[in-house]
Amino acid sequence: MQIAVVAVSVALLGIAGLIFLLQRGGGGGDDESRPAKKSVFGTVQMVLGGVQNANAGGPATLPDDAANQIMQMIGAYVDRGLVAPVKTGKPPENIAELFDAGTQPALEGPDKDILFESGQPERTGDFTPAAEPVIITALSDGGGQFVLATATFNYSSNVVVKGGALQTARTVALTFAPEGGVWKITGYDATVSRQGAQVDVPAATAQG
Amino acid sequence: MSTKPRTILFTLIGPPLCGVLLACLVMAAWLATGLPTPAKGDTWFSVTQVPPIGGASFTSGQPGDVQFFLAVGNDSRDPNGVGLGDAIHVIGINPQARAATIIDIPRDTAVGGGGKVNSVLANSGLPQFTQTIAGFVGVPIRFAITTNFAGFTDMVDEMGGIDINIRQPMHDTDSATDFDPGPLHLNGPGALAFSRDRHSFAGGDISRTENQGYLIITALQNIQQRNVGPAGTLNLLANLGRHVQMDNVSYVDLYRLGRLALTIDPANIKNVVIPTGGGAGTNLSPGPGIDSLFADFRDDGVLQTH
Repeated sequence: MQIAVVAVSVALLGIAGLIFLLQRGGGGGDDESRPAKKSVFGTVQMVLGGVQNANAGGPATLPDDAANQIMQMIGAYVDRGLVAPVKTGKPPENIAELFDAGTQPALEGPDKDILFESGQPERTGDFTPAAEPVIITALSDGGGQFVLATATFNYSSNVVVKGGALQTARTVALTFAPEGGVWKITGYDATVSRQGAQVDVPAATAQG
Repeated sequence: MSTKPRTILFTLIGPPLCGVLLACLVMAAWLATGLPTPAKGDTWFSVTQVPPIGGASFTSGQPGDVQFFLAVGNDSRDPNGVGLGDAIHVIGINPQARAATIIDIPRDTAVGGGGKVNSVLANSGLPQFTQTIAGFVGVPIRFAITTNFAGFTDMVDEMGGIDINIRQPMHDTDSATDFDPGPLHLNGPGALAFSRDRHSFAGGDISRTENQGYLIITALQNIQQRNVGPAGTLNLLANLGRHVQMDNVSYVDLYRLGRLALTIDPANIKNVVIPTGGGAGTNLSPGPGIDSLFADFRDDGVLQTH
C-alpha cells in the first residue's frame, strides 16, 4: 500500500513537472534570454471613417481608388510598423516603400521609435491591438486634381511583456502625396504614450 | 519678369523642398489659422521656379539640409505692381538645429559697385534681384518672395493680425505709427506702418530694417500658437491655394514650406543687420566685418560668432 502511494505521488509530481516545463515553452530556456510566448496574436482592421475634401478650386471628391490606395498604405503601415514588430520581437521591415523620397531620412532618425514599434520590450503574452476609423482630409488643386491627403487615426495596443502589461496609444496623422502614381507618405505627425511595464519613455511626439 | 496682382512673387531655385521663412510664415499663417476664406479671385501669390543659382555645393536638396531664402518687401502702392525692394532679408534655416538666422540688408546698401540695391528689384525683377543678393551674401538662395503694400496688409489681416511687443516709442506721421511701448495687436495697416517707420529711431533705416526682422520672428510666434493640426493644414492650404499663382511649384512645396516654419523655434532665430559704412550720397557701402558675418552665416545658416 505504501509503495502504491509513493508511486502515485511520484507520478503526480512527474506529471506536474512535465506540465510546468510545457508551460515554459518546452523547458531549457531562462526568462532573461528567451521569454515564452503564447500563441495568441492580435490583428487589427483599419476602417475608413470618412473623407473630407478640401478644394482649392471647384468642388471635387477624392476618387474611391485613391481613398482605397491610401487605406491600403495605412494598413501596410499599421501591419508592418506597429503590429508585426510586437508579434515578432523584431524591428519593422519593408516600411521604406511606404514613404516618399523626402521622408526617407526620418526612417533612420529618432522619429522612427515614435512612428513604429521596435519589437522591444519583447512580448511574452497576449497582444491586443485596436484602431479607430481613419478620417481622410484630401486637398485638390485648382484643376480638381488631388495632390495631398492627410489620414488621421488613433491606434492602441495592450501587450503582455515581462513584468506585466504594456499599454501603448498612438495618435497618427500621415500625409500622403502621389509619387509616380502611388500615394506615399510625405509627412507625419505622431504622438505615442506608453504606460505599464518596462516603460522607458512615457510619451513622445514626432513631426516630419 | 512679369508682375502679378497683389503679388508675392516667390521664386524657387533648386529642388523644391523647403522655403523662405517669410514665405513659410505666409504659408503657415493659413495653415495655422482657421480664418474665413478670403475673397475669391484675389491673388496674392505668384510662385515661379527659376534656374538654380551657382554655389550650392553644400546643399544637396535634402530636407535636413541648410536652406537659404530671400524675403523682400517692395514699395509698390499698386496692388498689381512690384516696386523698389525696400525690405530685404536673407534667411538661413537649419532644420536639424531647428534654428534660423535673418540677415537684414538696408535698402540703401550699394552692392557690386552699383547704386542702391533696392532698385534692382524694380528694374530687373525678382530672379535678377535674387541673384544679386545671393552673390552679395555668398549663399545659394533657393526661394525668394516679394510682397507689396496691399499684399502685405491683406496677408496680415487674413492671419488675424500680429500680437507684438513694441520695444520703443513709435510716433511717425509718414508711416502712420502711433505706438507706445508694450504689447500691441497690429492689424494689416498697423503692421505695415511698423515695418515702414524709420523716423522714430536714431538709427533710421538701419533700425527699421532690424524691426522688419523682428516682425517676422514675432509673426512666427503668433502662427505657431495657432496650430490647427495636420488635417486642418490641408483645409487651410486649400484656402491659400485660391490666392496663389504657382509656376512649377507644387502644393507639396507649399505644404513643406509651412511645415518647415512650424518646426523652427522663434527663440532660435537671430536677427542681424549687416554692418554698413559710408558711401556716396545715401548709398551705404558694406561695413567692416561683413565678410566674417557672411562666412559665419553661410556654413550652416546659424550664427555662432555674431
